[in-house]
Amino acid sequence: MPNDRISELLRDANPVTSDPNRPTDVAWDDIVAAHEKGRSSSTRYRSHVKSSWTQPRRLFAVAAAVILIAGISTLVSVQDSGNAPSLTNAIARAFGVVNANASTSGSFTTVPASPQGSNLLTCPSSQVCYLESTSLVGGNGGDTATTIYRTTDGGTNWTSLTMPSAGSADTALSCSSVSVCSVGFLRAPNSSPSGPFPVGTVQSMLSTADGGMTWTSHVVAIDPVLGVNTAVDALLASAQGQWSQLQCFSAASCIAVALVPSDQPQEPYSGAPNASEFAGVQRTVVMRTDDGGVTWTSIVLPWSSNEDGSPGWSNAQAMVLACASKMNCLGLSLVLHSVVNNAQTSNVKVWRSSDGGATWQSSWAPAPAIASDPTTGLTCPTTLRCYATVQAGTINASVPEVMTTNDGGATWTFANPVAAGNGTSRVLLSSVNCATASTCWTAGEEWLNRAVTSQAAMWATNNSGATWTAVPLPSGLGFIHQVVCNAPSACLAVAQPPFKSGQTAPAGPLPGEILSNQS
Amino acid sequence: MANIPAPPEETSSDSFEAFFRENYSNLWRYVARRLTLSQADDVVSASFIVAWEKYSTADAPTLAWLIRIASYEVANAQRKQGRERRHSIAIVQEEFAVPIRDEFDGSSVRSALSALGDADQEILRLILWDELSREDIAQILNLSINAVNVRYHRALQKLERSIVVPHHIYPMKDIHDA
Repeated sequence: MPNDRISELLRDANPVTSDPNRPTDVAWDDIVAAHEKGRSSSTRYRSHVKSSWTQPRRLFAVAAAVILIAGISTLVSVQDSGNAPSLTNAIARAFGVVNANASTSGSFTTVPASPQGSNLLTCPSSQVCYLESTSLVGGNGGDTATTIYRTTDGGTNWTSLTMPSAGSADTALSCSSVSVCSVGFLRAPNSSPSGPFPVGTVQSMLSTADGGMTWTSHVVAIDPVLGVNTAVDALLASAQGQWSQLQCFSAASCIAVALVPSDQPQEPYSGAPNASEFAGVQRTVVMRTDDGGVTWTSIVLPWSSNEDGSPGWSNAQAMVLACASKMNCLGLSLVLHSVVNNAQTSNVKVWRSSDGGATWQSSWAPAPAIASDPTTGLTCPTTLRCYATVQAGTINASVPEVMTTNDGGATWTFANPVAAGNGTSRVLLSSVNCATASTCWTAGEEWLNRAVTSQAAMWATNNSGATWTAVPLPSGLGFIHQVVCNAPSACLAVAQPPFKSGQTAPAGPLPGEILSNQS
Repeated sequence: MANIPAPPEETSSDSFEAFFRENYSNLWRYVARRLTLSQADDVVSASFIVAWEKYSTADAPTLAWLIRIASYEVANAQRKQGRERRHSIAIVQEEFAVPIRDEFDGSSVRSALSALGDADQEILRLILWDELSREDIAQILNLSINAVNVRYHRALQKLERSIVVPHHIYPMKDIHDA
């Protein structure tokens, strides 16, 4: 046979000439998700990188192989029994408590977790995480003080970072890499600040590029929104807003959400001007810096009427923000309605920006959603897919659900994780986070015994939120603030001790507890 | 503070998405021809993740550049596949690629191909299945164009010697008469 005939024969034996199984958009979403989640961590996607095979690396490889073999064996045995492999089994095997009882053992005993729930965990890699912990100092009414802790071994050991000044970070902490982090920092004017926006408060952004060894600080003006009522403006002229959320994409580029005081009336005002009626009404401001916090630009989210057209407390709560990329962000805000027939109601407003926060489009979440959750209750693994924990139903009979969008927030579907596991117990979901675009965890707490005690609760999905499966957890854990997943085998969760009815929060900090699914 | 201006366009990200969409199908077929279909999606994703990290510093990102990246991922997947088969743990029927538009059963040809050395197999696949230009293949294999041609013709000759194709299974073309 001449070569051209052989080549023709081989060409016709081409085994694959079809298009890919997955649509291009789906494949792109997965790649964006992996890119955003694992730029610095996903060893799965970096297997080609040449590296020296040190002894620890060899040991890790052996351990990984053992885990892989064990996993395969488990799945095969489940298949043999005629049941489909369940996500629960995999997670039950994977989740273990690094330090379930912080008061008796482990290195986390000195790490305080605030009973007010203002802790924030962020994991730029599967091994490196930063935990912001804000606690009351001096009991109720006292100052709040923030300490930031860092782990480089997936949560086993934590060290505190020395901050350049005392203050509070609340929930504004973000790391764009294992060593580059920024914190929105509040320094109160004295030991007894009063009101939500005490005069004299200084807001700043602290940044580190060396994992917290050194910090730079830039004062940030978070000004009030004025211009509606000149009598009130004078009272608020020197007030400053507060950081609510920070998300950084690099050492230079960050987007932030802040709550600021305004002279916007919270109800239609019919009487004589009275500053006290206006003070304390808050507006949501979105800010952005592209020079590491030196200069900022901002936009005030518009004050809108309620979904039914009636005026109300629009945007009285800070928008919860999640940006899948520097350009594409999605936000949720809780919009309280006016009191109608003595029944407070609310809805969830969806904000979308595809130009880095310069402009925003808004719409209403579907009817079941009546309240969005704190900053940890929203995550967008891709520009199109987001998950949010919400309260659904009516304000006096709401249930926790996970609200999912696959089109960047235009439409949403709902799933109730609780129905899949723990019956009719009252559950509060506080956090949702994803390892991939389709594999996510949501966590919070479950009240038992007629709301006398509570315990930690967690559910997982591996089908993009269509169904959720209860994740078995060790006993002795209370409210889970947050779950953070950086890779399929690298999740951490922050929990508090279980709460019992009648218990009063101690003046000092409560110990926090760290859950890990890393063996 | 001033209002937020429209930020600078993310030219790198945007252009990478365009690059992805232009090359996704071709890369998927490249990978699927060398691995099982069940492995292809993950390996393609892994390749694009790596490519994204290198994209902004690449002189001229092309399909050839992408395939060179993917070749490492394919090699790793093949090694992993080999290890798993040796251990014989997973009793799972692998979902191997099957011919989509063959008018004949090309298994005997592919079997002959698999009997060749890795380098010979790869040059034939790159030219006849992936239909890449000699310039692209030279870039992927880090060879000169002349070396690509020489290796290709030698590989064809080896394939001819190893191939056994009964006439009746390829009736549309009389390959023995030319």
